[in-house]
Amino acid sequence: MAANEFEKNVKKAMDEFKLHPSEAVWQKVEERIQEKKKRRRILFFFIFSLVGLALAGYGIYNFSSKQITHQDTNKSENFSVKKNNSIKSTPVPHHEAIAIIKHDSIEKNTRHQGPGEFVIKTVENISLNKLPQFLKDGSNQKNVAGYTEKATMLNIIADTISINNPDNKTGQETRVAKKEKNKTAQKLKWGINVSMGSSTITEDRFSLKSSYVQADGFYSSANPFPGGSLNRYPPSTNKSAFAFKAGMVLKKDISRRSYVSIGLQYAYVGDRVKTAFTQNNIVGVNNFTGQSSYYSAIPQKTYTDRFHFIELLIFYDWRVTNNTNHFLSLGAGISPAWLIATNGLVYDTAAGGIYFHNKSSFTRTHINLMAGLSYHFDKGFEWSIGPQFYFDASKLMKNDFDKRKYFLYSGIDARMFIGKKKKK
Amino acid sequence: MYEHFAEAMLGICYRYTKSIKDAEDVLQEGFVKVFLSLKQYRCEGELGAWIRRIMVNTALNFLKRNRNYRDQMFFPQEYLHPVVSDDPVIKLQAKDLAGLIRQLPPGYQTIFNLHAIEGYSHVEIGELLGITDGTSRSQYARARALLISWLQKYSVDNKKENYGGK
Repeated sequence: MAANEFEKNVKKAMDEFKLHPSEAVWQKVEERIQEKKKRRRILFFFIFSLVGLALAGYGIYNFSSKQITHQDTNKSENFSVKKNNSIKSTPVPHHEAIAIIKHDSIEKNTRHQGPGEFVIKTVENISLNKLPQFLKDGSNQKNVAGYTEKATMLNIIADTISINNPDNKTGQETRVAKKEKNKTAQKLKWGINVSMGSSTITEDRFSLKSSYVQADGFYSSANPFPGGSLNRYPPSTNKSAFAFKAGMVLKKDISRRSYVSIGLQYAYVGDRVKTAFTQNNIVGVNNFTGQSSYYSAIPQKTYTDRFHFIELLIFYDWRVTNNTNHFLSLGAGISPAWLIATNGLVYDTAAGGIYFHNKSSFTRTHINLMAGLSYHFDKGFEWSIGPQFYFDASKLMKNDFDKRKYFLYSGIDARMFIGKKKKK
Repeated sequence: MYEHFAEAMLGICYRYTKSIKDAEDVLQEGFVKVFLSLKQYRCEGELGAWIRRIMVNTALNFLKRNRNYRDQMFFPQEYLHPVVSDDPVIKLQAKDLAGLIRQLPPGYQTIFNLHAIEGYSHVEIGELLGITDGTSRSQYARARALLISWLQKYSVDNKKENYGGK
């Protein structure tokens, strides 16, 4: 019993035992929770971006493959025309020659315009000894010509493999398709994208003006403090700040004149406002939260709001000029972006006008619309360089007292694609 | 929630560690886990008990991770011998008792906390700490004996103090 009594006493005493933790513990708990949540969001965004990139890459790759298959189907249709005539019974010894035969007469590896002639067009370089015997032998021309007249102007494709061994036809076509696919894969190019310029936050969507261009001064508005003689400082004029973006892009030609780029990049953007020095009093702001530290809006010193984003890029370029070695292109695109960190200040009319830190006042997810002009050239690698604009289509500030709403970025964008330029 | 539970939970963390700084580190780590996994709390038991379990597990992880504690966790069997005397207590301030528990060697301290205060069985303690239930039993017996001897000494010293050292 005594033993149990001891444990009971100890347990009772210890269950009542309490210690007051220091203030720093809660602050650290809060910081770590925010940090972990941020990490989770970044991780999700990266996964989302990678999945998006993979899907887009797969889509582009597959889309091109379908085009090739479609071309192959056309060839097969031509082939089926040929299959119905008697030429296919002619023994042909070689396996890689593909010839298009028109009517009337035969000439080796030559194409003639006009009626009454045979045209042999080699799809790939075919040597004479790869041609069917009846095409090589001039003495047979009449017989063949006689046949083709009866064939009445049909386009004939002779695939010697399929003539000799119809089972090989599919294999041959598959090999051709594979070669084409490899060419398509080679057209996908990775590149590095770097852009430098300036950014600001505008009041209106797609506007080029900073917000509050009339402000930056002490003014006597309708007095917000009854019975007092205080004035309120308006939000500062915000000015543009240095900005840059850097990342990786994947480029895919989609036609002779256009290509699509998809990429993932980090973006550093911001703006500059004028504030006074930090105040360490508790003040209640208009969203009913208390702020223990804030900046008075008295325009005394410049503060740079910095915003760090991860952006997904989807960009379309269209070649304007004819020269393919160095040319100009116009581009447009869309860029979903995710705000990962900021030291940005938010304006509030409380206490005569203040700026304070509140990350929850900023929208995390943004959609940018992009437009640009690029000059493309080939110096060992493919390069493109030119001005680019990003217009944020989504509001940055949730706070109604701060009129800075939409990001605007303008800069010089340079891309270098890895891998030598394809010979045309 | 933090304000409501922090003091009691720091009391728990304090018993498992050797310094208030370590205790606060465990408390901080534990509350981060609590807030991040709050969705997993199914309202089946008391919230306090759920948080307490998280704190104890966090403290055990801290002890395993921290070399200062890990290297002293378990003593060879012959290191200390149980004291037969079993004089149950002893009116003692909770903080003093917690202080005495913290003076136990880390292995004893942990097992004593888990068994006497949290109510874990020796089998459960064995699973938690990766030792046999026999080891847990013997270490607990030694911890208990050591603590009682200290309590007796403490009691005697206190009496002397109260009677002017006579």
